[in-house]
Amino acid sequence: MTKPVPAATPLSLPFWEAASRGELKMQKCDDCGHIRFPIGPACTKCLSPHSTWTGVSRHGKVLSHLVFHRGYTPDWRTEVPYSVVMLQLPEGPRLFLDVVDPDKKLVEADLVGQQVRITFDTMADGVGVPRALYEAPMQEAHT
Amino acid sequence: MKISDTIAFAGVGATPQGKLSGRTPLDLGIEAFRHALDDAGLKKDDVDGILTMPGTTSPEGGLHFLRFGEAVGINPRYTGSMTMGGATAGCLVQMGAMAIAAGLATTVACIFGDTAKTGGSRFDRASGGETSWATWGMMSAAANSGIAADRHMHTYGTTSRQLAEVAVACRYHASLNPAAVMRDPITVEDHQASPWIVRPLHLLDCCLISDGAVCVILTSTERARDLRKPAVLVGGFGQAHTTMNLEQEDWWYVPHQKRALADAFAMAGCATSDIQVAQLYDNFTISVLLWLEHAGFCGAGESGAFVENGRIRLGGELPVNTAGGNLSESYMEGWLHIVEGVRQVRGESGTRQVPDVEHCLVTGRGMILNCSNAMILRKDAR
Repeated sequence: MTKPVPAATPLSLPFWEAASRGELKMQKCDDCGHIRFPIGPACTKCLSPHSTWTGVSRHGKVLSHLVFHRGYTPDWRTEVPYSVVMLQLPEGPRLFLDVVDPDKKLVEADLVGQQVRITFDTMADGVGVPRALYEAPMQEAHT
Repeated sequence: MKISDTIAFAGVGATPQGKLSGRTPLDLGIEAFRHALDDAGLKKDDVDGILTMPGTTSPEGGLHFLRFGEAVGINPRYTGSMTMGGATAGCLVQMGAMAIAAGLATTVACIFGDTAKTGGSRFDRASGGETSWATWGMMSAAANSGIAADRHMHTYGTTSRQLAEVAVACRYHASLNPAAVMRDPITVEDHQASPWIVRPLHLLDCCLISDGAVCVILTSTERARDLRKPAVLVGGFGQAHTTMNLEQEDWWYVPHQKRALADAFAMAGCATSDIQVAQLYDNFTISVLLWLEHAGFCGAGESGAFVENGRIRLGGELPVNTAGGNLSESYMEGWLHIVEGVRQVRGESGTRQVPDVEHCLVTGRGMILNCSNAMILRKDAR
C-alpha cells in the first residue's frame, strides 16, 4: 500500500490543483482578508462567501510532533513509525502534515520549535500532496 | 427558574463490563435500565422521559431513542438521542434536568449501551472535513489527545512519568472495584515500558474499549426523597464547546472546559475547595491533567506536579476516578463516572469510599477535544 490519494470535492478542488503545481493555496476572504483553513464555504470571521485562493508560505514552524507507532488504515500501517507535525504558517493558518523521513531518523527526534519546508509529493494521477520536509541545520565545519 | 438542587439522581445501574460476546447495545441498555429502576425503587411506567446515547455499534444511530422506547414499551413525553462522544452522558443528564425543571417530564432515564469491544469499534477516524487529516496520517482519538499532551509537555515541562501517575492511580482504584475490567495494579515503570501508541502517549495512557451499558434516572428532588435510596442532588452544571480546531491556537488546551466548570460551580454556589472527590473524564491520561487545571485544583501548567505523590489517589488530597475511570474500570464514555459520583455521595463505594463526601465533581469530554461538561453532585442536606 502507499499513502492515500486525496479525493477532491468541488470546494477543495482548487487546493489540490494548486498542490499538484507545487503551490500551497488557501482561501482568503475578499471582505475581511482572513485566511481560513480548513477549507470552508464561508469566512469563519465575517461569514462572507467570497474568497480568493491565495498562495501562502511553503514553510512553517512545528508546534507539535507526533510519532505514530500504530497505523489506523492499511495505507498507513506500512508506514509506521511515521511523524505528523502541526505546523504554524507565517500567515496564521495551522495544518497537519506528515514528515518526509525515508530513513526513519526523525521518528526518534523532537521537531517542536523547528522550521520545516513544505514539499509536494506527486501521487497517482498527478495529484500533489504537501508534506513536511525537515532539513537539519548545517553542522559547523571542522577543518 | 432555579434548577440547582431541585433535580436529583433517583437511581443508577450498570451491566457487567468488558467483553460480552453475544450481547447487543439494545439488550445491554435494557438491562442497565432495569438495574437503575431497581436501585430507585421505580417501575418502568414511572418513567416519562427517555434520553439515549447510541452505542458506537448501535445500528439505529440518531434514531436509537425510537427503538429503545419501543423495546421497553414506553411512550415518552420527552425523548431523543444525542451523540457527542464522551460529553454525551453529562449533556444528556443536563438535558433531562432541564426537561424536568421545565415540566416536560417528571422522571427521565438516560441510557447508553455499547458493544465496542466485541463489535470492533476502532475510534480511529480522521477529522479535517474537506481536506481529511487521513491524507497525512493524522487519525485516531489517541493522536488528537497526543497533540494536547505534546503541547502541554513543551509549554509547561510536563513529563510522561507524570501522565503515568494518572494511569497508576486509576488502576489502583480499579483494583478496589470488583466490577472493574482491569484490576491488576501497575507502576510508573509499567507505564513507561508499555508500547508507544502515538508518541507522546503510551498504551497505558489510553482508555479501554468495552462492552456494557449504564443508566441513570433523574427526577425532582421532592419525588426522589420518597424513593428507595438517598437523593443525590444535581447541585450545578455547565457545558461549553470548542468547534474550532486548527483555527484556534489554544484548541489543544480545551480552554472551553473552564467555562463549563465555572458555570457548574456558579449554579451550585460552591467552589473548588468544596469538592472532596472528582470523577474526571479520562479518555487519555492528559485529559485528567487539563481538568485539574481548569477546575482550579492547581494553576495552569501545574497539573503534572499536582498528580505526583499520590495526591489523586484514595487517601490523597483529591481522589480522582475512584472506580478506575475509562482507563481501568471500563470505557463507558464517562457514564460510569456519573454512577461512581452518585455512589460516592450516597456513601456506597465500599472499600474505595471517600469519607464525608458533600460534593463530587463529575466531568465529561468528547469529540476532537471539542465538547465538555461539568456537574456538581451534592449530598441532600435535608
